[in-house]
Amino acid sequence: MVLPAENLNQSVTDEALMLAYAKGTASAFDSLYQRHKQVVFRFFVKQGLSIAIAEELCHDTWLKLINAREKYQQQALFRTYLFTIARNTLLDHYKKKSTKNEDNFTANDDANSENRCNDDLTETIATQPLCEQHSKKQMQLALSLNIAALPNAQREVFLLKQESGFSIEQIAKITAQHQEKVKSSWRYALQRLRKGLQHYVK
Amino acid sequence: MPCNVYVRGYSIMSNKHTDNKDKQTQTLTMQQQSDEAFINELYDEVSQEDQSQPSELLDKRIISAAHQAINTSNRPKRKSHFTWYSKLATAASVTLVISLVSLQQDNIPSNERADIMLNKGATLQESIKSELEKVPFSDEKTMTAELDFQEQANSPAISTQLASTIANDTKLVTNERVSRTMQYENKTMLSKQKSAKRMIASSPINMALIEKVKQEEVSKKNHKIIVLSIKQFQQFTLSNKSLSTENQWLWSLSSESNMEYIIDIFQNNQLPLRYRLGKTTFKIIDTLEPEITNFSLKNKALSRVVILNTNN
Repeated sequence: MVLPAENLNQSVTDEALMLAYAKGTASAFDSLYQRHKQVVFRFFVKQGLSIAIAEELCHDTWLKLINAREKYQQQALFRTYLFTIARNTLLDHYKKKSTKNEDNFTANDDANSENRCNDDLTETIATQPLCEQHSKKQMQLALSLNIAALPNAQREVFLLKQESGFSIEQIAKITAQHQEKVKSSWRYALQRLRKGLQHYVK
Repeated sequence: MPCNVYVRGYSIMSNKHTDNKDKQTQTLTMQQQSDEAFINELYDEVSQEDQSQPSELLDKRIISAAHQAINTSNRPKRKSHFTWYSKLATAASVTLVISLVSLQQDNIPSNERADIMLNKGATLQESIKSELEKVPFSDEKTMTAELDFQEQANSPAISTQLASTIANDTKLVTNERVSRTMQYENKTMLSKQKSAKRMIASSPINMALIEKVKQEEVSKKNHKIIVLSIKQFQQFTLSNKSLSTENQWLWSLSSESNMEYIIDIFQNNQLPLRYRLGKTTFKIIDTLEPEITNFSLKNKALSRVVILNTNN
């Protein structure tokens, strides 16, 4: 399937673009990348990683997609496919990283440890010099810090749902988990974030 | 009655329990919805500020990688360097094997080949003889008759016929059987004789081999080594003198031992005669004369052999 350049606009689905790219239309990839580059990047950034590492992981994710272009099947939703690759890249990154991060990734759901973590986080935000108590920048920082402080399983589900707009069913597919577990992770993540961010909202 | 009360009580309790569960789930969903609303509100406020994007450098790197991947896959795949080499190697090895086999076959001496052929011929002859001798004619007849009778008896039509005839008259049956066996005996005898003749006639190689064997036997008889007497020698010399140079008898030394010489005496296009000469009576001097060296018989370079009678 070769798509003409003028057809590579928003009307063409991601799946069609991916298939076109797999067949050899290089310009199809450009529009695919433009559509999803930000979401993928934010997925990595919101994990609490630095910009440099997030960019590196982004690069790896897109390269994996490029190399696996011929294996792509139309039955799979492109975004699900892309985020499965992104998630696997993140897992690989955590495996390579130091044991501290590895321990974080193994979803330590112990309530006490998480509470301690949240307390530390609120302390760090409170001790920072604040010119306006409830400014948007502060809120943004608090949100990203709270997200980063979430247990990995909850953070993953939260980001996939809130940032990337996936449904519970799609997240279950991406993370290879049961839907009920995804639902509970989502619920707990919401509760935790609300608790952490309550005093920033009027 | 108490049983009914218990059941009723249990049902009331279970209803209460389900009601509580429903309430719990309702509160949970309410709470979740409010949490979602809270987070969405927060996100709406923050999202205007948060517009983080990957750097342009990264964009360029990824897009160039994507284009490069397509360009490399579109290129025609290079054929491996070893395709022509492997073909050549296989062809060379095949020719080498064929040439070696042919050389080996050529190197087998003609005498050995003849022996092999003769052996083959002999084995064939023996096999034909044994086949013919395997089953004596009388046995063959009875066997074929028995087989035929069995076949006939096994077929349902004939078996019923036989049953009816047995019921009527047993003597008639036996007569029929005897007549049939006689007929089949004659038929099988004729067919066997014909097939044996065909076998022999239809194999020209076998016939040729048999003829070769016969020729060999004749030549063996001719190659009997005869002891040359002085009288014979004198007759040879006398007759040779009277003949022209082309038709003269020639002597060739075949082998020599301490006691005797063995010579072949032959004339143009004739099988040689082998003679044994005792060293006590004869002495052979090999002389190479130009006239005779030019003359060759059956591709054998000959030299005149001067035989001297030592008694003279």
